[in-house]
Formats: sequence, C-alpha cells, structure tokens
Amino acid sequence: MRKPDREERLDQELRFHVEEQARRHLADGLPEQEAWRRARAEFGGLEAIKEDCRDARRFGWLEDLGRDLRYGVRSLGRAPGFAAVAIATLALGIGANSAVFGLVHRVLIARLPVAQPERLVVVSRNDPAQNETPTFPQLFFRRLESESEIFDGVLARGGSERVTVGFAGGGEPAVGELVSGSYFEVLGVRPHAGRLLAKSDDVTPGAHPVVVLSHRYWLTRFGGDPAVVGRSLLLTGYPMTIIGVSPPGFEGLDPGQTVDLRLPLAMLAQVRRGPDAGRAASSPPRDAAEFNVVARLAQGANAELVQRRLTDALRSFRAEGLAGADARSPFAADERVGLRPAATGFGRTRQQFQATLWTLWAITGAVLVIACLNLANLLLARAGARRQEFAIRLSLGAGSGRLARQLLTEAVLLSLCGGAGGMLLAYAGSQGLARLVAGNGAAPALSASGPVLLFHWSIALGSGLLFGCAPAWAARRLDIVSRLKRVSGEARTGMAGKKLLCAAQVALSVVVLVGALLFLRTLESLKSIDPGFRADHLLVTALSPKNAGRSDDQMLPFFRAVRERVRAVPGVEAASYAMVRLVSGSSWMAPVVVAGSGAPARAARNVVGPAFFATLEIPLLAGRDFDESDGRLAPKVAIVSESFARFHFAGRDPIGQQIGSEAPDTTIVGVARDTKYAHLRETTARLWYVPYEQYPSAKYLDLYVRTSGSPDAAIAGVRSAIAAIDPGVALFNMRSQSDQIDEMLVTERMLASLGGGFGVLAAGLAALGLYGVLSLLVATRRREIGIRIALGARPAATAWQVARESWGMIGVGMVAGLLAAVALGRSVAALLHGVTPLDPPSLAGAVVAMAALATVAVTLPALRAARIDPLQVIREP
Amino acid sequence: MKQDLLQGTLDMLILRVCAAGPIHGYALGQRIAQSSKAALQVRQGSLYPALHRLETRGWLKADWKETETGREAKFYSLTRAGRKQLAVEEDGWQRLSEAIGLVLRST
Repeated sequence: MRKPDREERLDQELRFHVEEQARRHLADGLPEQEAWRRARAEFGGLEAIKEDCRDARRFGWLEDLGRDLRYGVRSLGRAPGFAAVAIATLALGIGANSAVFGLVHRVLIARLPVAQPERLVVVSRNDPAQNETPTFPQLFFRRLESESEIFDGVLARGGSERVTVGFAGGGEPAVGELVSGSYFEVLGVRPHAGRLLAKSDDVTPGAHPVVVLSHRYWLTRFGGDPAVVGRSLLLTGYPMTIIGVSPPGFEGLDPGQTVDLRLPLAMLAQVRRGPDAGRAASSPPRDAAEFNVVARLAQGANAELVQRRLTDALRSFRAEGLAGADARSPFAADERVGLRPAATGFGRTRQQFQATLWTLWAITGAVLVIACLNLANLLLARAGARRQEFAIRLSLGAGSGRLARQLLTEAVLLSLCGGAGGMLLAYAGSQGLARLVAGNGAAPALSASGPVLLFHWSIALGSGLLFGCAPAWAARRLDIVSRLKRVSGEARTGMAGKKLLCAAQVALSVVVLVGALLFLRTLESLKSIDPGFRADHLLVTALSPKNAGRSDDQMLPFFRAVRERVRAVPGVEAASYAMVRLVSGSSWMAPVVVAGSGAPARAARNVVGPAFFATLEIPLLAGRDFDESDGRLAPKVAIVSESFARFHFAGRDPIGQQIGSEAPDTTIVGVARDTKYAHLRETTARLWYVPYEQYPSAKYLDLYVRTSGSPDAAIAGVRSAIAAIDPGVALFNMRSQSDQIDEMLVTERMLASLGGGFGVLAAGLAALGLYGVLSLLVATRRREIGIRIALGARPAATAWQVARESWGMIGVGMVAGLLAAVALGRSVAALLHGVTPLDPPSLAGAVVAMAALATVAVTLPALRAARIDPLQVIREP
Repeated sequence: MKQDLLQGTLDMLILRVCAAGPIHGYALGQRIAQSSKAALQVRQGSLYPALHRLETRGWLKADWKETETGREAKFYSLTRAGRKQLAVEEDGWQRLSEAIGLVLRST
C-alpha cells in the first residue's frame, strides 16, 4: 500500500476536524444535513487554511535560515580577524580554481558557438600503422561535397595563412583562413553584418575575390564601421570585396587561434602565390593534403556506416590517382577513414595546452582542499572556544541539530564571502592566463560565461559545506559532551581529529611542492639548453613580398636589396635569411639523396641567406659559409650539420661530397655545428642548408638581424629600411629570437610559475593551519603545563614536548605526501624534461621547504608553552 | 465572551496541552476552550498553521493513530526540544504577567 503524501494527509487532517464537529452537532440533535452545513461554515475556508499550513512549513525553514544568517553575521562580526583570514584564504583558493577553470572551459570543455555542435565530426585517415592524419587533398574534399547523401554537410578549412592587407599607410600583416564556401552554412553561423561566404563564392578558382572579416578584426581595425561591408580591400595585391562580418565570439574551429579574415578556398592560388597565381598553370600536386575536413552528420546517422562509405570513397579516389602521375603515392590501399567528435573544436591550442591545463587545475584543486581543511580546523577551534555559548543555547532548548545547522550556515556564509572575493581574483587571473596562452597573439576574450560562473559559485558553496561539516558534526555530540564537565578530556579527544586534518594539509602541500619543483627544474633544464647559435641580440621577422603583390622574378632583387639596406642600419652588425625560423615549432623534413649511398634517407632542411652562419654565430667546423657569390647561376652548394656529416659520411671528409633532394647535384662546401631546429626538446636533427638564390621557390623568408644593442631598439630602423624599398610589404611575427624561444616554453613557464606560486601558497596555508592547531593545543593545556613547570619541569623540556607531539603529525603528513607524489609522478612525466618524476632534489626540496615552514609554525607555540608562568596559571579561576 | 489570543501565546497553549499526552487538532481546540471556560476560542485558521509550524520547528511530533471511534487522526505530542521550549515560554509568560500585574495594581 502506498503511503499517503503530505497533501493527502493535510486534507485528511482538516476533514477529520469537520467530521468531528459535525458528529457533535448530530449528537446535539441537529438533522444530519444541517449538522454538516454548520460544521463546514464554522470551519471556514478550507483551501485558505491549507495554504496557511503549507506556508507554516515553508516559512518555518526560511525563518530558521534567516535567523541563522543574522546570527552568523553577528558572530563573525565579533571575530573580524578570524573572518578576514578565513575569507582571504577562501578567496585565494576559489579564485585560483575558477581562473584556471575559465581557461580549461574555454580551451577544453566549451562547445563551439555553432548550431548543434554535437553533430560535427572531424574526418581523418588512418594508415595501416595507425598514424592518424587529419588532412585531405582539396580534390577529395570536392568529391565529398558532391556526394551529399553521406552527410548533412561538409566543410574544409586550411591552416592560418599570412595575408598582407594594403592600407593607406602600407601593408599590414593579418591572419587569413581559407575555407570552403560551405563553411558557415555547415556550421550554422549567422552573419553579424552583411552576408557570409556561400557555396556560390567557391566555384571557379580565382574568380571569387570576396572576404569575411572576423568580428574582432572588424572592431579593432575598422572601428566596427558597418559601412565597410561592400568596400574593397587590397589583399595580397588583389582587390577583394568585404561581404560581411562573422558574429562576435565565433573564432573558428580551433579555440585559442585567432583569425582576422576568411577567404574562399577557390582563392588559394591568389593568397599563396600573389601576382603569379594566373601564371601558375600546374595545379598543386594531387596529394598535397592540407585541408581539415569537418562534416555534419545527419540526425541519428550511423557513424560506422558513414565511416565505411567514406573509406570506400577515399579508396576509389586513391585508385584513380595511382593510375596517373602519382604512381609513387605513399598512401596504401588499406587506409581507413576515422571520425572524431568536433563539438569542442580541434587544433593546436587544444593539443598544446591539454595536459598543462588539467595539471594546473589539479594543483589549484589541491590548494582549495588545503584551504578547506584549514578552515575546518579553524572552525573546530572556534567551536571549542564557543562551547559556553553553545551550552547556553542548548539549555535554552535549541536542538543539537539546529546548532549544527547554525554552524553550517556560518561556514557557508564564510565561503560565499570568499567566493565574492574570489570573483575579482578569478577575473584578473583568467585575463593573465589567457595572455599566457595566446603568447604574442591577441588574447582570446575570456568572458565570465554561464558555466564558469556556475562553477565558481558551486565550488564556493561546496567548500563551505565541506569545511562546515567538521564543526557541525562535532556539534552533534555537544549535548552529551556538555554534561561532561571535564574540559581537558574533551579537548584531547577533539585534538586527534585536528591533527589528522593538519597531517592531510601537510601531505597535500608536499605533493604540490614536489610538482612545482619538478616543473621549475624542467624549465631550468630547458632554458640551459644551448640552441647551438647565439639567440640574444638577434631580431627575426618574416617577409612575404609575394603577399604584397610582387611577382616571382622580383623576389631575388627584393631580398638582396633588403639585406643590403638593413645591414646599413645603425646598430645592425649582420643580416641574413632563413626559410625555416629556428626553434619556432616549424620544421621541414624531406627525402635526401646522397651520392654513393643506396638507400634514400630523410633529413631536416633549411634555405638560408649569405653569411647565415656568421649572422647566427653557428661555428663552422670545416669549409666555408655561404656568400654573395652563391647565386642562381653559380654551382649548387650546400652546408651540412655535423650530425648529418657523421651519419652519412662516417670517417670520410664531407667537403666535396654530392647530395640533393632528388638527384645528387649539390656539392657540400661546409660543415656546421649542430643546432636546435624546431624545438628545444628535440633530439638533434640531421640538417642540410642551401642558399636561397639556388632554391627556386624561396618566396617567404625570415630576415635574421644581428644587433649590437637590444633587438627591440633596432626594430624601427629595420622597419623603415624595408619600407623604403616597398612600403606594401608587411612584417610578420617580428620579435627577438630569445622571445621566440621563450614562446616555445609557454606551457613549461606556466607550470613552473603558477605551480611555484601555488606551491608556496599551499605550504603557507598548511603552516598557518599547524600554527593555529598548536596554539590551541598550548592554550587548552595551559593549566597542565603550568602545573608541570611548577613541579620542576624545565621550560625547555615543555617546549620540546609540544614540538615532539607536533612533529609526529608533520612526519605522517610528509611521508603520505611523498608517497602520493611518487604515485602521481608518472601522470606528469610527459610534461617534464631533464628530470624524472622521482627526481631526488625535487622530493628532498619539497620536504625541506615544508619542514622549514613547519619549524616556524611549531616553534612559536612551543616557545609560548615554555614561557607559561605557573604562578599566573594557578591564580587563574 | 470570546477573547483573541495574544501573539505567541497560542504556541505556548498548544505546547502545554500537548504536554499532557498525544492529542489531535480537534480535541486540542476543545480542550483549550474547556480549560478557559470557553473564554478562549481558537480559530481553525490559526490552530492548524500553528500546529504545522511547531511540528516543522521540531517542538511537536505527529503520528497517525486511531481514535477511540476507530478513525484515523493526526495526534500531536511534545518532543524533548518542545518540552524545553514550553519551559522557556512559561517562564517568560510568568514574568510578563507578574510585571503587568504589578503595573495594574500600583496605579
């Protein structure tokens, strides 16, 4: 049988009353009908009374809450110092947590601001060795587009392109993205102004000079002027029409990457090749796979079926290609297509920051837990001091449950105040974090979005409930305890719990400290790596004259002229070029042919200018540097790195040997010392260099400038020297090479600096907690200690006894912390360099740092114990 | 003669009557009327919300039991917290009425 619910019971109760009244009237001799009528009339409005009863229940609870809150505010007001410390601690813990969460949410969790992102998938291909490649040739994408029944829609996007935008004052660098005409339609994005690209904007190569501005670029560069829609813009030397502005908050498929403008895929040649687009008769090679393909699955589509149909499509595409010029195509027949959800976007930012962000979040989580444990202890101590107040309230009829609720309310009140303080910290912190992530680029706008606010206030409330539990639970036993008059007995039983909380804080701090030290040592070890060239006093900037409307035959004269002029700038010692910027993450691995060696090998390449090795101060171990005589018509020459020489010519003299990319047609004229190539962390690459004048398609070169003073001071001179030759040429990514290397260490620096900061905070909080508990211990045992001193115990011995007792719990905490750090170490191993997760100096350093702080925390109360005056104690009531 | 109850005194009267043992709402109203020789009439519109409020407070607890006539009714009885509350309120009332008495006698 079902238990009647509250409403039915209420109805039953009131009806019982009316029935009783009616029976009474019947007994008094009234006729039945009249008895019932009168009973009902006397009772009054049944529904109104019911509603009042419901209110009585509801408001009873609310009234209690209101009373608890008022009482809580008053009682915190009586201890403003305690309240201030507690709120500050919480503000730090909660603020740090939600600042990191803001970034975690932005980069890793948030769904793209597009229609139904859960139906988006990114298409990739897996070769038999299970290497996943997320890019496809453009032709394959065109074929998918025509097979419309597989998906609800499919789009393609290239990586970011350097685009030069011609303004009255000269060329300016911008970031462009080539996208298919279906891009916005498939994503379901609405224009902010004008219209967005459509399929009809992406049909005939070169025939669609239209561009869509991103909302941010439109605001910063055009002041948000709606009249720019329809206006013409000089892009890479071509006039293109601005057709619209994409909506605010839409940053494309790679969260964290910023794109200024989007162009149709059909304009690929115009964007890449500038004025030579028309002359380029040969289409790009079929297998030049460089486009991400993202599809929108039909509602309820069977992903496995789609995957199979795509694999078939890819295989037939390959089969056709194999019949033609691509007979050597490396793609095997058993390639398979994979689908991954793309609801949260994909791309480099995600990959680069994923592990770092989760780790940072875990660290801030540990800090918040320490803060909560700390407060639990402080509140327990306060509850001890308020025993008298509680006893009075208990004797006045307050249930111990009510008392527990009161304590919980006070805890939550504190944590919500901490949450309010944390808001400010979280805001400032997340802006700083966003700047770190963006590096030199524009920081993505981090707004206080709904989920982040929800998270913030949930952890504020949650931590209040968490640390409020301890005193509330202790209060449950209060009415029994209050009958026990033996104060010191109670204090001692409570002490065990407090010590346990302290040990837990010490353990967590040790874990955070070990992590921080590991990350600091990783950063140090990376920074101490010798890149093989002199990175200081070196300025680098990318030049793409093609972008500014220069044709192929104007390239060499332009590069020569720029180098001459820049070398004449005061403060410039030398200048040269490189096609691959060093330690910037970019690399160029290609097959190399070595005369006299059968097997083809792969090697890293670079195309450089005259005096490259002198400019970068890379020592030459043999032979000579490139110079002006290594021109287009001169014999082809190359310089190889020492690793390259050792690998290919072990024991033989590399000078004079023949190598090449397709045939061994290039003579080695020098051997250079090894340098770092793409990353600081890489194993040394085998590298060969050729002069740019002998490499026909050198169209984008990075200018390297060795300066006598600070590189920043030379920027203006270099800029005006280049502008004097062609003001339309934009300078991309200009910075000092040291900054360039630092940029590659952004995740390591984030972990080291934030990890270090949080480590200090965690250890400080734990020390504060220790100090608080020990002070309480000494205070509650004043009498006992005083008596012992009176009986002849030496003060030093009493101090020692306090210290010994506390080092017990500190030791337990440290051992537990070390064990946890060792267990967790493996999960951060991938983030480390030059140290293992079991790095003894880090483990020892954490213990020493914690011990040093703990010593301070222990010594102060221990000294206080030693200074207790027995006479004074005995005179106390 | 009907007398309106002073704010807050109804709670005290209910607790007092419940202290004698479990009792349902109807009987409680009758008991107050009888004891005061019909001077105090508690309206249903005040009685039931008050009972529910005191139950929510934890001063009364309620059980569904059979009456002597064999029907189910909600019986209220005093909890330990309610007993303490009653003591507090009676004490307060005592002092208040003494004080008022003093004032009335002295003028």
